[in-house]
Amino acid sequence: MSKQGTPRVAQASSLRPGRGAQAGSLRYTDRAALEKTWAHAPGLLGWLSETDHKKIGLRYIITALCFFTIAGIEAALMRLQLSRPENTLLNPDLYNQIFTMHGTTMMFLFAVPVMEGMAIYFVPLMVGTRNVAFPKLNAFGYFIYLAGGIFLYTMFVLHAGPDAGWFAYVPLSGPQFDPGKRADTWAQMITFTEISALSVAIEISVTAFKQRAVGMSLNRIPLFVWSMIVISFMIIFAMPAVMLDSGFLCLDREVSTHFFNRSEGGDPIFYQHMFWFFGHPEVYIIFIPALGYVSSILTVFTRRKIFGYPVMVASLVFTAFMAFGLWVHHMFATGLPQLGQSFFTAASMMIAIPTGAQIFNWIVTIWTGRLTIRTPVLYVLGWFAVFIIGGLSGIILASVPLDVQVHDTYFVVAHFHYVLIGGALFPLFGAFYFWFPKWTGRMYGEKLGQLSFWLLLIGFNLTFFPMHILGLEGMPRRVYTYQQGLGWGPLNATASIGAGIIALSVLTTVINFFVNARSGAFAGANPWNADTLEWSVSSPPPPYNYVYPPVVSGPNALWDAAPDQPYVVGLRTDKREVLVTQVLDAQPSHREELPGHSLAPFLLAIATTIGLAGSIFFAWWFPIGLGLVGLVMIYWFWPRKEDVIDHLVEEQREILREEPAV
Amino acid sequence: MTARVIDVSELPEGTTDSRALIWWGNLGMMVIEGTMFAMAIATYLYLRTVNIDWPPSTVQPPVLFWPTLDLAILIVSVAPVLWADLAAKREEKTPVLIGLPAAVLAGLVILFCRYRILTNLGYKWSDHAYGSVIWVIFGLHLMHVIAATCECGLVAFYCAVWPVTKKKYLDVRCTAVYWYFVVITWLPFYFIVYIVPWMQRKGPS
Amino acid sequence: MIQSVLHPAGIQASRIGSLWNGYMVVLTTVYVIVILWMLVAVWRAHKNAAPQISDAEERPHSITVGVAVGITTVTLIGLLIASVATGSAVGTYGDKKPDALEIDVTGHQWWWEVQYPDPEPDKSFKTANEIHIPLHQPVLLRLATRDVIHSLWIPNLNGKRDLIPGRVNKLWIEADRPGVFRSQCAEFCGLQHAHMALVVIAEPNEKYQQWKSHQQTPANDPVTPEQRHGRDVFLSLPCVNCHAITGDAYATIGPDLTHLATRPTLAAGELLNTKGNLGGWIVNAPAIKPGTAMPPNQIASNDLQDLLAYLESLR
Repeated sequence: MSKQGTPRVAQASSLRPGRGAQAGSLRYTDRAALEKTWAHAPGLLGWLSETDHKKIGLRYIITALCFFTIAGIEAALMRLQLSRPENTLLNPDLYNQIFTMHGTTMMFLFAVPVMEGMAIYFVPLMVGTRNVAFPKLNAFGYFIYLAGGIFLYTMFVLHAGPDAGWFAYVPLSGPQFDPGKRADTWAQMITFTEISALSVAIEISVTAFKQRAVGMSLNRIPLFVWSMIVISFMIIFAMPAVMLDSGFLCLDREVSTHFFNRSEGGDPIFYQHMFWFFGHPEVYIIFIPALGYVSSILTVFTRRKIFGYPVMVASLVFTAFMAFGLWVHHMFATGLPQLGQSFFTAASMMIAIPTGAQIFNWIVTIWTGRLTIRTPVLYVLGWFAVFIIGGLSGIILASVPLDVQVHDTYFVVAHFHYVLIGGALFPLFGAFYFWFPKWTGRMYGEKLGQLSFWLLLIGFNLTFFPMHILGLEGMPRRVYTYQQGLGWGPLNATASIGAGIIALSVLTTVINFFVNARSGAFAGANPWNADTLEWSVSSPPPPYNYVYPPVVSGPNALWDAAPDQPYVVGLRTDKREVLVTQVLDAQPSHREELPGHSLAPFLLAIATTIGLAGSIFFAWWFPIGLGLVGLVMIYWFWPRKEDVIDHLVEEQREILREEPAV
Repeated sequence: MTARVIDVSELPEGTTDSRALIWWGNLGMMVIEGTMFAMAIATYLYLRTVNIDWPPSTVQPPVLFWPTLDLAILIVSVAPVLWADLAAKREEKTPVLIGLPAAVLAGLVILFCRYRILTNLGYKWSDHAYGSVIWVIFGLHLMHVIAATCECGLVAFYCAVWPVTKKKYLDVRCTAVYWYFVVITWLPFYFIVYIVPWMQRKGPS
Repeated sequence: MIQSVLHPAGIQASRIGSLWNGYMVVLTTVYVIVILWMLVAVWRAHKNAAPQISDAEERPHSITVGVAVGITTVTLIGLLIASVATGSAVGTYGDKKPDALEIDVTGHQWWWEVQYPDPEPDKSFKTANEIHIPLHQPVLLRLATRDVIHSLWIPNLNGKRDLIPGRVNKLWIEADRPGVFRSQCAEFCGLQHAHMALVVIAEPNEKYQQWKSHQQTPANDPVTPEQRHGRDVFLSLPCVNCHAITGDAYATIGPDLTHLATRPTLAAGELLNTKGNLGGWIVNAPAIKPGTAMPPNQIASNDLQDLLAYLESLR
């Protein structure tokens, strides 16, 4: 057993000059060795066996944006159908499938995965390490997410796509009223995406707690990373509820269990309780990372650290806890006892307090900072304007008597689009613009970027503000058409026009990114003179992130760094090694080797897909799938030759060391 | 200007204790599965509140022999696994090669007990909501018993056939912790499935 | 406005409407203040030469944030109290109302079955997709469903309540001005959720009593030869498998047709109740409302005319 050593802080010789110019022959050989050890593999096999968190993070983001586009087209179809009363563009069956697919795709295949992708890409960079804690799990998480999306859309094309709404209430989605495989597809797709989300939650939380740069104590963690830690915990506690709920739905449909069947002791309301116990935290899982982006962007563009860091962290944590205590506000019309409902009213209102605290802290940050207006900042200011409206309509929905009037109407549709698009999408797009130079090494076009913001702001409000009024005028949700004389036509038409403007905005952004990724101005490592660690490496970062892992002296790593800021040496360059540090104060603990390329994640995803997708047709595919999973796991954990050889060599060394010198 | 460096080359490469990354990943996985179990218990408790007859009157009082034997074996099996666990921390091979196979043996006996229990329950998952939730509770836990037994067997196989590296000792420890998880999570289920109906039968009518 | 939250015609909706107005004032004020604060911050920060971050400079802002959070909390508590008070008033409205008029509403995919129960069985009657109530009378709607979850929502009178399998939910309404108020199912219930409307007609008590006594009478006997033949057609077709007409048919799967001709609409508000529409509906209901349980009917043209004559006589 090797001796447990303590790290040394030593004055380096002139072989290792200062921070900025880490040139020198030693660094050069280290870098060359790292390039070799951490190299990407070429070709299809290389792609399938990739474990670099940056590549996987970008896969999540790009795949999520593809689903976003598809769901956007679905929304466009819905808006076209609703632009006139008694329109016949879509028949009711098709409309019901399309609105279900729109919601399902946006919530499960876009919103959560895109936030996960941002976490996967940036958390290791921001904490100063080389990869996530479990690279193979990371690769598997992406493949299983992709498989879930492909599964859902394949079934949709085969006329077996879900049609009971994105939360598929029973009995409408149950065996009696939803024949065929539609609801089973929905329920099983959930399993795919939740497995993916849970994998990411484990990776991000372990990486953020155990692999932080030396000196990055808990009070120096960037707020972006805090937001991702918080949602990791939320995912871990919320997802099992929907896994079980959708599992029960499948069981009721496939093998005649009675979880939701009143006549045999089940309860349809139980489905709602379990779904929303997941569903409410889910929307905060989507929203909280956006708060991280706002902090990241405002720090850089106000040239100061965010005001009130401890309050900001506490607010994130409180919001996460409280999010688990609100779910019944989705069920105020079901006739539950009044006293219980009032508790949920109180909780649903009080959750505005931590968010309010964050808003006030950001305003003070701007007030006392030196603001430069660029596209990312515009999107953040747009967030303020739009999200707060959504939050306030949420306060209305929290009140039981008000909610029972506007529940399940277009008022709610307006509310959740204000908080999801305003609250999550605006900061997300701001984040895309902000980190575009880091991803591509080039700058986007500023004027076009600002145009895309104004188009989104105008288009969004034109689409969704009228919906508040439509709800108050009696228009329920999920209707494929409405009658002539009700007077809903003009506002619906306005909303449909606004949707077109939103599409234009997104198109503008896509063009901006496509063109400038190839031919934009070169950006360099840190075009914004930003503060977090990812800005200290090249754009895009090398596969190993840091030649020498950084050491951090304050909450804004690069701004608080001394001219001779220390860095970490001594990690092996012939193996993929990372430094593991202690949880509270990030002092060095030990070194660990991370796996490199492997086909096991891809194979595991195939085995899991066979089990999950097959089982909705024939229950025995589930145990067969489990068996295949078992086989792949044997391959996953098969001892590696290199490890065995290393171990034997080390054993020999021990024996030699203990022998008396001859 | 010279830079200062922190040299970590003297730090150990890998550990077999709770500082390891996979230790925390294993813990995270158990928190997730534990939450699933908690939700299953919540399901049972909720359905109980919406039913007057719970368990339904057609359900016979459970026979306690096989379930209690099953529980006893589960609890006793912790001993050899704990022995292997502590030995792995010290990187000692022999207790690992005895403790893990003992767990596999225990797992197989438990599977047999469960087979007897399930075939003699007297009701199916499709009979009523009570049947549905009890069968699902059994099913969930059974999946973990099977997974843990296979994992113990596999890790024991690796340790027997190949030289046991520090990583493998760490795997032994994670497998052991998973085994404790399987044992501990059965306790509330046993209470709900067997003690509660027994209490209800003995309680005031 | 006949289907609007903002034009209350009943006690409950008025109470909720007042709460709504209060919330609108408070929340709009909050929004304006916060956005102004943000815009002023942006304008100032544009002009700042350098960020102000020293501890001395930060302190006053901590106080500002603290005060803002305090005001937020107090405002929320105020809104909470107002909400609970309103909810309690509206929710306990039905306690101590022994003279309530009770009406049973059962949801079906995609129509509303309405029954006016009476201690004397032949005085109770059923209708479909419409409810008549007298003014200034507490009315208890008892809600059940035959299939999936629906939701009854009459925005001019009260908030909505879901119709849930295995439960009977209660909704109290009391109209305080006359009118015809439209309602639509407010919980997605499948293919024709969009076409599941119901009207509530609030009228002075005398008119209500007239309507009610008329509904309590049995179906009119056919008078003309066409009507008599029409009744024979009705009895020979599959109609009797689903529909009831007092004296002749007793099935309860579809709407009761005893006084069909008194209803303003057909198919839960989708069609006006005219001869042409009724004929079209009978011949091919699924073409008009895809997914409906009413099957198409093969029926000779003159039989159809006689059938329609009979049905139109069911006043």
